Amino acid sequence: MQGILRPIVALVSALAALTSPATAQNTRVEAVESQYNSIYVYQNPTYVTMTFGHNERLYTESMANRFDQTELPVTYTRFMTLPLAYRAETSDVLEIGMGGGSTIWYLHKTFPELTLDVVELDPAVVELARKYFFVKPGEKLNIDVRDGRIFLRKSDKKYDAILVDAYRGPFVPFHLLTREFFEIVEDSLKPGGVVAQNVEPSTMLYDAALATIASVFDHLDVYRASGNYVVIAYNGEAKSDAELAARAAEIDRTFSPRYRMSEMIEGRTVPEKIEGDVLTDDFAPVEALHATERHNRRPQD
Amino acid sequence: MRTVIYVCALVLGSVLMGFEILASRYLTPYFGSGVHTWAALIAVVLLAMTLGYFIGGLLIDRFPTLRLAALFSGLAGVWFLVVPVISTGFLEAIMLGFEDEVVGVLLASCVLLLGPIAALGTYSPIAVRLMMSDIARSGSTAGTIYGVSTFGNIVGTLGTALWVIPNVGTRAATFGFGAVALACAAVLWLAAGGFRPGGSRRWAG
Repeated sequence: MQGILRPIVALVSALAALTSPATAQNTRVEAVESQYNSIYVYQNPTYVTMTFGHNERLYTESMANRFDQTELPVTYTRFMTLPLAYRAETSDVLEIGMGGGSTIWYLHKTFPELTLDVVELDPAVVELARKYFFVKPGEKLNIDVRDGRIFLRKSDKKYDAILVDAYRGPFVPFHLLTREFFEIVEDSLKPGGVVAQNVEPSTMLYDAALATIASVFDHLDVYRASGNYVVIAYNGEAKSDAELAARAAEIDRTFSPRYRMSEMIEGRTVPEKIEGDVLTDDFAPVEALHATERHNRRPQD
Repeated sequence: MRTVIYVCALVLGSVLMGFEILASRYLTPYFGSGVHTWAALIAVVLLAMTLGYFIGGLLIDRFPTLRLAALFSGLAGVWFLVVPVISTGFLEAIMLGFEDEVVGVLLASCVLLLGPIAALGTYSPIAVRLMMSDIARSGSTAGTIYGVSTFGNIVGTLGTALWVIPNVGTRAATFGFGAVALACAAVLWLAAGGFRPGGSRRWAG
């Protein structure tokens, strides 16, 4: 019996490694205690991963293919590029929360004419990204190190799209989740500008996040990537599926992005009912909401 | 009378630390939640307590009456009623006016906390002086007041972080602290009428 078990275990491990290439044979190449986070960088033959928090891989945050600059191994980050399909023209994009910079680098390589600003709170994250990932500041890519909300308040620049991806591991900074924050985001958008936010769907914080965003913006679409959802919100007239599909197809034709907009745009869902408390600077019990699972999940969730 | 003094030590101790925890919710939207915000917060609270201890000690020797404690508690209470109304204004002005975030958060913490925390900080030396009956018991008098007050600190810290913030809005909680501080002020003022410092045994000199 023993003799059979060993090769079976080996086979199962090998298969597991094949199905999750990012976690196969990971070695930790760096661990940094920054002012804000415990950051761990792992490498395996193909991928480099930046994770946060004590539970390490439980909170995988950023991943990149070491030999392929435009691969976005983390699914939801592909959907974070969809705001481009909501605009007739996009020239200025802001990302709040850089992590490894995979999303912003993909945008830079795929749409070189975009002017990209990235704001990251933790200078250690920026340093590790410089060391292990591809993202590099340049003429069209500007990296700022500060709190995203403070950056927006102090900047006069208006953007076509603002991508919010600022949570690190288990810690959710409440001041980036409130109605006041989204009002500040709205102020920093050009007319008809779009905000994209990744949200984790498993806790009551999801309902609160949607309610909060909906209290500021006229329309809200949800895209379900595996693990995380991406919420895209905008003001003005509601965009029809046809309108978005047409624009997505145009972008695909012009730029041939690796992750086709037309395919991703099909995942658009418009929530029928938004329940949940609107979070404000005055009252935002994010820790309690984050710790509570959603009970009202419908089958398709 | 002793009961009143001990109970107020506990209650005002809770309010002091409770407002410190609440202060983080005021400061974070304007200055972030990083370590500099917490460091500024803690440093300013300690500075305020330093001022409170010195001022409280000086004044109570001059004016040995429980009314002094009532006055300071009342001042803190009034500040708590005012802060939720004016905070957005001065926090935003400071945030926009200072490029250096550390300087900004230190200044904002001072404006937010120095007054009420110093006022609340006067309570312990006041209480020690008024409870002091003889030198043989001076150590335990001081120790008991500070012990009770520090226990109040624990209640305020944990209660605010774990119950108040998740259940009550920041503004409402601040008003609540104001009401509590004003109630203590009223009780202390009334108790002052029938209270003789040192109790029945006066300390000669």
